[in-house]
Amino acid sequence: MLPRARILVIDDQPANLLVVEAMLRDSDYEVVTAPSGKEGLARLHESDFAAILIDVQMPEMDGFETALWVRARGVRTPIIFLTATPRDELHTMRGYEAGAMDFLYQPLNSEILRAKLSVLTELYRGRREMEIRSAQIEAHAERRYRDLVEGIHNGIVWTAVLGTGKYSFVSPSAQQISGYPHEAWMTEKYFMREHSHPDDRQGLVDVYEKLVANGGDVDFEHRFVRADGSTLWFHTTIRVADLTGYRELRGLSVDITYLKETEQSLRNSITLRDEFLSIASHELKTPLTPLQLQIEGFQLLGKRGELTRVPPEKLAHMLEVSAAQVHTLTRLVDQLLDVSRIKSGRIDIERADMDLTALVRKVALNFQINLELGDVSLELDLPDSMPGFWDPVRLEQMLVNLLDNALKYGMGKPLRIVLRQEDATAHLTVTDQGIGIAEADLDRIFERFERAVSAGHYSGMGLGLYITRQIVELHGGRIAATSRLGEGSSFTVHLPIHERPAPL
Amino acid sequence: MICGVSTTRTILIVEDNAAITELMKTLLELENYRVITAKDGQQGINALQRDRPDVIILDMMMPGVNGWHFLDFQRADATLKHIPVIVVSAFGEIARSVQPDAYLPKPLKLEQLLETVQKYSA
Repeated sequence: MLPRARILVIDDQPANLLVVEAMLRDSDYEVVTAPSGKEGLARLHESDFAAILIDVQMPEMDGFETALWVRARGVRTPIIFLTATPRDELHTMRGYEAGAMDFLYQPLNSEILRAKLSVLTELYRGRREMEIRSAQIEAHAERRYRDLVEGIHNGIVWTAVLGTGKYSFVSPSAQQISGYPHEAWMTEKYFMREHSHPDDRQGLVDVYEKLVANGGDVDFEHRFVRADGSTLWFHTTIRVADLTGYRELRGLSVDITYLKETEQSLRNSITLRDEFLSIASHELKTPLTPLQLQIEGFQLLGKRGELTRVPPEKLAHMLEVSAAQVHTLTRLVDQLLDVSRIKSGRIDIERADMDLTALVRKVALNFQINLELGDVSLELDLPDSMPGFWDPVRLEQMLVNLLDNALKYGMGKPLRIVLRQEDATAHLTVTDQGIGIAEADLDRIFERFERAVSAGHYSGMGLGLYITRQIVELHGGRIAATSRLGEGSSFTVHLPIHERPAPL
Repeated sequence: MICGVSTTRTILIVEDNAAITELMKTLLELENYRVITAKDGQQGINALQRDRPDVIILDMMMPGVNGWHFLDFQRADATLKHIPVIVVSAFGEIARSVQPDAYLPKPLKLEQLLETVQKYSA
């Protein structure tokens, strides 16, 4: 239902006021009366009117003056002048100039009054409705913008009046992103600069100065120190807005820490991969070079017809060395394949009944030529047998990796393999007395492509221990290293002794 | 040897790659050289003092005491510095920078090696 329309009647004659009130009684109108222009203006503040009826002839402030004051206050409400004076043109002109919509002549005719008011009321109601609707639209739009701004969780929307050094608005996300309360953002002077990473402070000042001098907009990246001391990266876009009398900076600072970290870790991965490729190609070439040379040696001897002059045991030895090189090459290629299998989760273990003691002996025997070349002794401290249900191929690979490392980093000093059983676990320890590993490096040596010492004189792709750890873990076991720099290293594998499951 | 007093020439190989050393040794022994091997500079210095070789084949890049250390030691000793040194290296620049008597690039050409050893042991 529509609200009753209010009509303001301004007339110094109480009788006239009564007439209008009487005429509009029992209608849709609520009549508000005022005995003077001044009083009428005061009523205008109190409520909104559909129409204003003003008596032209009033003492002090006449109807035209009152109308001018009404308009001067920005009130657009239609005005109808009431006048007893017969119509004359000059009079009418003054009335329209003062903002009149219409004239009504006294004595008033009730029908005409109602008819005129009904038109004006219609107009008023239409206007009101539009006003309400546009206010709703405005409120809706504002809520939408506020929701949008408040919904930005990974960025801070802000404004600052140029020259104040303080924010005039900061979106609520600031608190969560920075760890500083919203109030600190709003009250601390030069907040952003003060909490910037020290290395970025000057850059920030430069950006602001340039912006202040040239206007326009700018975007840049800078670091910010959170309340907890950690560093975050912002990507900030700032625009200078010229408002009447002052300039405002409007900015969006997006938290791009995650992006930066991802970028950095990608960069690291690429560096690591490039290093790996260079190491891998070097490693593959290392056994190839002597192999090539050996073949060339045989060719040379063959050309000179001297092959038969080589003593048979010498020849056998040379071939054995060659075989060791081929073996190394094969192992390197296998490692590369294993890493890609581990990465894609395609490495499986195939358990079988086996004897770990026998396997250690076999691997040690296969290592004989390498040990001889390096003039290194190997001591075995093994039980007579240690049966278990493991993957013999993978455990052999594990042993080869461990022994290979011990030989490589053992500085030619004696090596030792100890095998013990404790409850249902096999403990296998490979010990060398070589260069050792710094404590800080002990953790990362089991990672892919990692090695404790720089490539320099120690060959290998940094894959051996990584693969070894995967093999051990696939068996449900674990591997640990202890070491002292310059005194050697010990790698111990703890393997649960599974028994073959009873057939169903 | 057709004329003169024939003595067996001694070659010292200082090289960390055991397989390469082994091969050079085999080939040189077939040529009737006496071959001593050292797998790093320190062993090389010991052998140098002990065996007084006629020719040295030296690899520059070795762990620990390397080719540079070895040369420093040899050249500082008046009784050893005359022994010709054949440097074997994959890097020509490195090899030339130490001004050896001869330089053999890696990968090695065995015929070239034998010729060079023969030339400096004559």
